[in-house]
Amino acid sequence: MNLLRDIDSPGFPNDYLITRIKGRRAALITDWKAVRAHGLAAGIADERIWGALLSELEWLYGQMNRALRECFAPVFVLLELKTIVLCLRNKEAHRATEIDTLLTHTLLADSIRLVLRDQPDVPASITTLVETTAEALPGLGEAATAYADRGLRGFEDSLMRGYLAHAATTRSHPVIQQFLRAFVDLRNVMILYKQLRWGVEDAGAFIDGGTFELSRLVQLNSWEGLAKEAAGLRVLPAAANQGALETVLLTSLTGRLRQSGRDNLGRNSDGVGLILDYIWRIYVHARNVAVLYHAADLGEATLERELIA
Amino acid sequence: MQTVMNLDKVLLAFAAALSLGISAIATAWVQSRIGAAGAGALAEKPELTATIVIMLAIPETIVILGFVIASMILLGK
Repeated sequence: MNLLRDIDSPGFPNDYLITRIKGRRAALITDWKAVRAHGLAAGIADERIWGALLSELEWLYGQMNRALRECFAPVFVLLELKTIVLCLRNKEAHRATEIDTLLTHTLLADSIRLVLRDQPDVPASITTLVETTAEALPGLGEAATAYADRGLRGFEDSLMRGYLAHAATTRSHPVIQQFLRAFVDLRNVMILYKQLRWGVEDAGAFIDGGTFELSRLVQLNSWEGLAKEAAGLRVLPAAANQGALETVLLTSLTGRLRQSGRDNLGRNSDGVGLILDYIWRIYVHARNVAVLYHAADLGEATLERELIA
Repeated sequence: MQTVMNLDKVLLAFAAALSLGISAIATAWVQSRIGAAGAGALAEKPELTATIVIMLAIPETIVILGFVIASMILLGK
């Protein structure tokens, strides 16, 4: 079963898509100070922010040729996991309009969209998703169990962990695989941070598939160890809190992806690095808008720290 | 003696064909890439039409040079 929507169109040549991406990339906001000064447009909400991101991803997916669609499928699915979770959260809160907004531009396959739209409540949705999609979506079975134990937060965490571990260890384009492994590293450093912060030890919490060996991560059970790992990721270990550390890690990943997008020779000559960089840019754009939406009342210094440049 | 002269002619014709053929293939390849990228640029910025037409025409010089060289091979002494 395919997790993403099947499109009849054969798409367009890589050169065409790359030029269009370069044109659209220039239109993304880079001056966040100006946005902070003028404020966000009225009517912004989480679903709208994510919906705008999905709309751009839908455009990108439609422009890609079949080979690129297959190549980027792991990245699209990774981003669409959040759509599934947002739909379930809205279902829990009985907000049908928001679910429709989210599903308008989603790339998820029709069978998954129908489940998310038509099932009456969250448990029924998860049960039907497991029945229809568990084979194609690694981690869904465990996520259903986690939902029974810890609710939607547990479901989201388990689904993301299961899928990431699978995607990062499955053979894919080198640039995509490098990104997925870097993403797993980022999550593992965050898990290590939380364990140190709350004094908890849970070796099973780490995600397999990153560049660090899990056994080594478990041994690094100290702040010095975290600093070492963070330094390994070329990140300053001086982040004051969880949010700041996450922002620093995401900024580091953004820098690496930009570098990969700029390198047009060798293995990136097919434009995969540039396209991945664009996908990440629009994701970061959506994240920054969400930060401004939720944290507009916080001080300038906090916003400055939370926004990814 | 006659066979040697015929072989010379064959080789000259072959060289002229290669000169024109390879430059035509190179032009086609470059124009396909510029054309695709140009179409993408036009979709985003229609005001670039004139620039893209010029860019698309520039690789034509490759095949023209190939034709000139082929002519020189065949007609030159």
